[in-house]
Amino acid sequence: MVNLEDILARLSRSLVGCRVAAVGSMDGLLVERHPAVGEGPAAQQAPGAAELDHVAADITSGLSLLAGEVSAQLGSRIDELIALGENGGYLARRVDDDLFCFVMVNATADLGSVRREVEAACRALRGALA
Amino acid sequence: MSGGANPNGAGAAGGGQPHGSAPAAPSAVNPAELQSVLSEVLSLRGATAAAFVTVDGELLASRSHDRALLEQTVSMITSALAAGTALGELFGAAAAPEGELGEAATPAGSFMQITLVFGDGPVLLTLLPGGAHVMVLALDSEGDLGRARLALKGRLGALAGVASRRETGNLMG
Repeated sequence: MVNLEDILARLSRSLVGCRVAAVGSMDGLLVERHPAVGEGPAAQQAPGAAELDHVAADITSGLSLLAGEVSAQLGSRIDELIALGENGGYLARRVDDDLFCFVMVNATADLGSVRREVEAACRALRGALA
Repeated sequence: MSGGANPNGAGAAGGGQPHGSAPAAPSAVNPAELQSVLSEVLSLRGATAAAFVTVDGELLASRSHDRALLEQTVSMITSALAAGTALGELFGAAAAPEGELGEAATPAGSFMQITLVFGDGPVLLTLLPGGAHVMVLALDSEGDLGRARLALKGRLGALAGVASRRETGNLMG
């Protein structure tokens, strides 16, 4: 079995301010995450299982919506979704038709680095799942 | 263990013994191969029991860390498959245009996957390519569903290949 957690662990470690890195499927289910529930530095504790399940479902809805008319108007599928707030944000990127990778970061994270690292992780995930 | 899956011949969930000494069927699969595949599936984080069954509910092989859980899972396989088949027929009938039921319609019982969620954790029943066999996988919690579905999805072909080589044996871990 492919160990997605290794890839997510690398992604999580490489990002300053990363609270959790995860893979979800486009049916709304969370597939894998790192760190596990309750793990990680105290200052940036990973969200709980139920919370992240909700996030995965919401991101699925977001990506599905953006894959409709918005993508049609752009001429290509929206592959990346960024949601920012004062205290941090989420970045989700499609791995393939069925999966997406997302990270939750706090306000100290650098968006450019997050985008770059998530894209690299998506490539690694594609390779691992091929 | 109860009435659902037919444990005869293929090894009951409660048997607890590898089936290597049984007379081999003409096209019997290598028991080690079956054990290896089931072990691999069972090594998935969150997996608690795994079994191969036919679409008729006949138990072909099973493996679990927990005998009681395995027996509980096996006991409901036939009912779950029957429910899935009935729902599949209903869905096929509803989806097919009037007058086109038959060859062009969704075949009876052509579910792809059934997920049963119990207090003890969900059970996944996944139809393998070819439509003759079903992989049954019991999980620890609903949080393991996504991982399990992804893992199975990538291995359906291999699982079908093993299952179709007429299998025997109950491989209790």
